[in-house]
Amino acid sequence: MANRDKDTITLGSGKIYLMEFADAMPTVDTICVDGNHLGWVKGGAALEYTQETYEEKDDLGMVSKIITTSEEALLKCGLLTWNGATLAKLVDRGTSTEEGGKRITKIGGAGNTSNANYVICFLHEDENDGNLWVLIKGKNTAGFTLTFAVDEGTVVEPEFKAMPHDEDGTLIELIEEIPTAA
Amino acid sequence: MIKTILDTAGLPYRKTRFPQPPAGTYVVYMDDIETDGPDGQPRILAHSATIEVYEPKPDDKAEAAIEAAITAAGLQWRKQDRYWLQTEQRYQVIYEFEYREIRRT
Repeated sequence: MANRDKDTITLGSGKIYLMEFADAMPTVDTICVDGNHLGWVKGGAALEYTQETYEEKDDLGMVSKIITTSEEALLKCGLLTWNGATLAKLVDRGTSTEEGGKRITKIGGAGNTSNANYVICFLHEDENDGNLWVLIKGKNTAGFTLTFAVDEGTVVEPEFKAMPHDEDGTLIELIEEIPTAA
Repeated sequence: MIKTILDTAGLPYRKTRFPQPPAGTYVVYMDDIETDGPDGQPRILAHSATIEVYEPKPDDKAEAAIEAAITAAGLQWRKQDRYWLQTEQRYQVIYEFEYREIRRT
């Protein structure tokens, strides 16, 4: 039974989904389907929200006011499973096509610019305390590094930077399952 | 992988212990496993293999066969030099190597 109250311990990783969209932000039910599963995560995921503030106060420190001047949200994860099509979604300049038993992925080059808008959803599943969804509109701003090693799987580590996705300028939507009102 | 290597080497072998060992050179192996992979999915099995070679008398040919078999599998390996076991009245040579096995869902 969903019960994400103040005593809830959030423990564990989750699944990450990515979906291209054009108009209104899709709902989590639309996003979190197998076809949008970006890849299996290793090492969990991290959501970072940071803000810069400006403080104004009098010379004696008797009154002050703090306002937020800028803010940023990043969703980071490590993808242990991926292919060329995955990489094409992680860069703005990338295409991936399949023909004759081969997948050709081209990365880089202004001619490969997609200008796609993506919604990214990280789903933390908890049968006992209720599921949690982290929803952002964003793009990977970290590029990628492919390391091929004999003793460790190749992990792609995107960093999705959130962009405002509604009239309020919302960067992150954190959705939790809670008990429904009787 | 370990059985393939030992089959290639052509020496009698058993896992963990050899209840009634032959008079000649034989092998006992161990296979320690640690899992890795995506969160919540033990899809990568990291094997740490130990091959113990027991020789009634120094057996360079047996050791060369094992080394060739491990090398043919494309693996790096470590060797502990020949050591005399007084209680067993045999020489012991130990090989260790690691390899990874990937399982699909």
